[in-house]
Amino acid sequence: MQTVTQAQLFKLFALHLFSTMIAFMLGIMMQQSGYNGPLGILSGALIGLGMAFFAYRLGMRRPDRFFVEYGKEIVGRWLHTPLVLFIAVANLLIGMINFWELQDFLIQFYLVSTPPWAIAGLCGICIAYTVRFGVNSVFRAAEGIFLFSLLSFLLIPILVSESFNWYIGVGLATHFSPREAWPSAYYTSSVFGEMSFVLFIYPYLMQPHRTFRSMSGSMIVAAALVLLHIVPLLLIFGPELASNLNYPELELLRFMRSGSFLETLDPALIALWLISIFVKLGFIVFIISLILAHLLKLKDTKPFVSPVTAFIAVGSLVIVKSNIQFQNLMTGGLLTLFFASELIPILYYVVDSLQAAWRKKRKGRFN
Amino acid sequence: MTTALTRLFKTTAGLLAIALLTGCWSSIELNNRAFVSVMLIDQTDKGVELTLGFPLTNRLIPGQTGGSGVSATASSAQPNAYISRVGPSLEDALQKIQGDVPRQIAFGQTHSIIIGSRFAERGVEPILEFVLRNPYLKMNTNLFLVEGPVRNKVAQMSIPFERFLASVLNGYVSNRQIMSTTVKDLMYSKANGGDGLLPILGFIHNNAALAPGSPPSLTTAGAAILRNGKLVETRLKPSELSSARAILNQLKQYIYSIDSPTDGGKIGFYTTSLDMTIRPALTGEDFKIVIRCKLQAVIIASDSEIDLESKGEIRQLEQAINKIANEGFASVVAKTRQAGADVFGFALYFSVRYPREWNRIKEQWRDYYKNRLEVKIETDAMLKRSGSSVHSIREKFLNDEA
Repeated sequence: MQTVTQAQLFKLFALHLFSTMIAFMLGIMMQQSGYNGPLGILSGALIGLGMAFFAYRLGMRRPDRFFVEYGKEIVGRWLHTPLVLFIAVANLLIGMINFWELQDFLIQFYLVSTPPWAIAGLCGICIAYTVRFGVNSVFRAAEGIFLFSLLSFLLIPILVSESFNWYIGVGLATHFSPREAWPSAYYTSSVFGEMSFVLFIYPYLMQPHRTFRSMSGSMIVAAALVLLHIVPLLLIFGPELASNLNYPELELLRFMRSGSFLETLDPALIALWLISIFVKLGFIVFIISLILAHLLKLKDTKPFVSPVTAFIAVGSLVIVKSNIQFQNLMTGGLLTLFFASELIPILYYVVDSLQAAWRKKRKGRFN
Repeated sequence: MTTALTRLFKTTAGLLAIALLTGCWSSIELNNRAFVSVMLIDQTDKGVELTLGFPLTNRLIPGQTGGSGVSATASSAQPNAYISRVGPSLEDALQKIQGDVPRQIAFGQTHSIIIGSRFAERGVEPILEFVLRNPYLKMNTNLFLVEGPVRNKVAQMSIPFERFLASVLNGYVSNRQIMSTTVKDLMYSKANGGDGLLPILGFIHNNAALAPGSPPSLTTAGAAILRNGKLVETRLKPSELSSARAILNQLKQYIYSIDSPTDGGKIGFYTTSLDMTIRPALTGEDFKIVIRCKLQAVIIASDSEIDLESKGEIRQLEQAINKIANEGFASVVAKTRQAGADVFGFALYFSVRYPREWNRIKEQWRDYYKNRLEVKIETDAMLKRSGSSVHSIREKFLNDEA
């Protein structure tokens, strides 16, 4: 059962955290926080790790049992099943949103006349294929692509560094405002809090007591990488222009002037990003299939992978009709929904601790 | 799942994946694309005139010199096409041009946009908007200005060194021989958005190898000032433009000569490095901008009897350079202030460093820049070497014949 090493967990989580943040979310951060984007990201990352800490502690109490099975011992069956389904639905929504962002991005810039269902379908097939082979394939995929993905993300700020206007960096200090940073922090913590879903896969992990170290490592790597992208955005475009761009990361890529062939390097980098996003989506699909399989008391997650992926793929096509609707969706209550789903393990942790304390008191009374 | 079923699933999934190759929907053959290398935009009485310069791949012959509109017989072999149409707006003209061109117009290789002065007087926002929204045009596209009608002058000029006009312009920019203003430079901040310097492309007959009556070649000729996206009357001469480029840290190597402080003979210099730092300062309620220039120069010619081995005389020379540089910078800043256009982007420095005070005056920034801003300029020149010889030829080898 214990087949996933801590190194693989670290790499999966690192990819999971920085891939969609850098690719899709930098624009909204610039719009809402301007100079305080970096501050918001740092705080959000720490908050997210804090949320995941409780999931870690809860998992450590029963590292060889699946959460979906022992959860009902903590809060009772009638509360556990809806809560776990809530987490599954939240994950479905995360998957659909990421899928939608992916196909919108690809269609807008690179595949102009391709119908969205082709992209959703093809990506869905890739992801379903990966996840069908079990937890190992997801983690091995992450392990394999991690180094290349990391290098490609690191390459971008280095290549555009000659266009930096370093003086704008002073603005990071002079515009310090936690109030302005809060929207970004909220956003980021809902992303980094997705690490709390490690709770579901504890029986698969080797050396479960070192999980928190891997998670902290992922948080540090992911936060550092996101900062290495948002600060160049500020230094090259300034906050007013950067907040006006829909895909600032892409504009950043296009700003490379170091030799003519690197200017058109963006499709190659996009390909690497795609794989990182696939890894993230693979993990999400796996979590959902795990939840559904254990709720229905099935041993194997395989039967659920294809339907779940199909649901996410089709759902992403119908969930919003245009970019404007998508912005409406994201600035509404959706983030709070994700937040709530990540806080559920904390609820279990609190109840479990109370129960343990109460049990100890009862035992003590009998002595 | 049995092995046969697994294999069936794998094959089906694989075939489906191949059949749904997503690139095939939107693929455009390379032969079916017309790459725009330069955009020319002008205003005529009938509307906006858009001219797109295409390199014609079907006419590119290895070994051909290309690029010159020298004679009528050679024009059919020219590897360029400048398709031009007029429409009420940029996009309408673009649609008409697409109707003329049998290939898909592709903007991915456009690095330069040349604007006519008549269009610029009405405002360059349509161009900025077009570049910003188009997913293929990049924000570091260079902008140039041509006085008067653009189309014929540019399309029919002679290009001695390169095949295409775009290569010439790219060469100017990458060798830092011309002011480089990109689309992004005009969009840093609302307070001074649309303020910038546009390099002017001039046309002169400076190629003695061409027959008389040939079209002129390209040259770099000063700059024009944009204020709020519109062209203003003031123009910068090439010498003033060098000071402006220095302030923007774009001037690296520059050759100039000054009168020697000892006896008035000309001494020629070549700057090997020039670093500008611009820093905002706040004294009480008043903003001040401090421009510091550190430059290193090498002497390349001397017609004076100045003793280049004496420290005192070198110091005098350096101070003479400082004085001339300061005057140059001050005069160009004064000219832009008179025009009321913050072309150097001082607004950004203040907004970064003093946000609270900046918020109070940012609505009237241009007015503040014109009338109230204090500008302090300091230059620190250092003469590193005197070239390969010590004394001037006149002093050492020529006799003064009365």
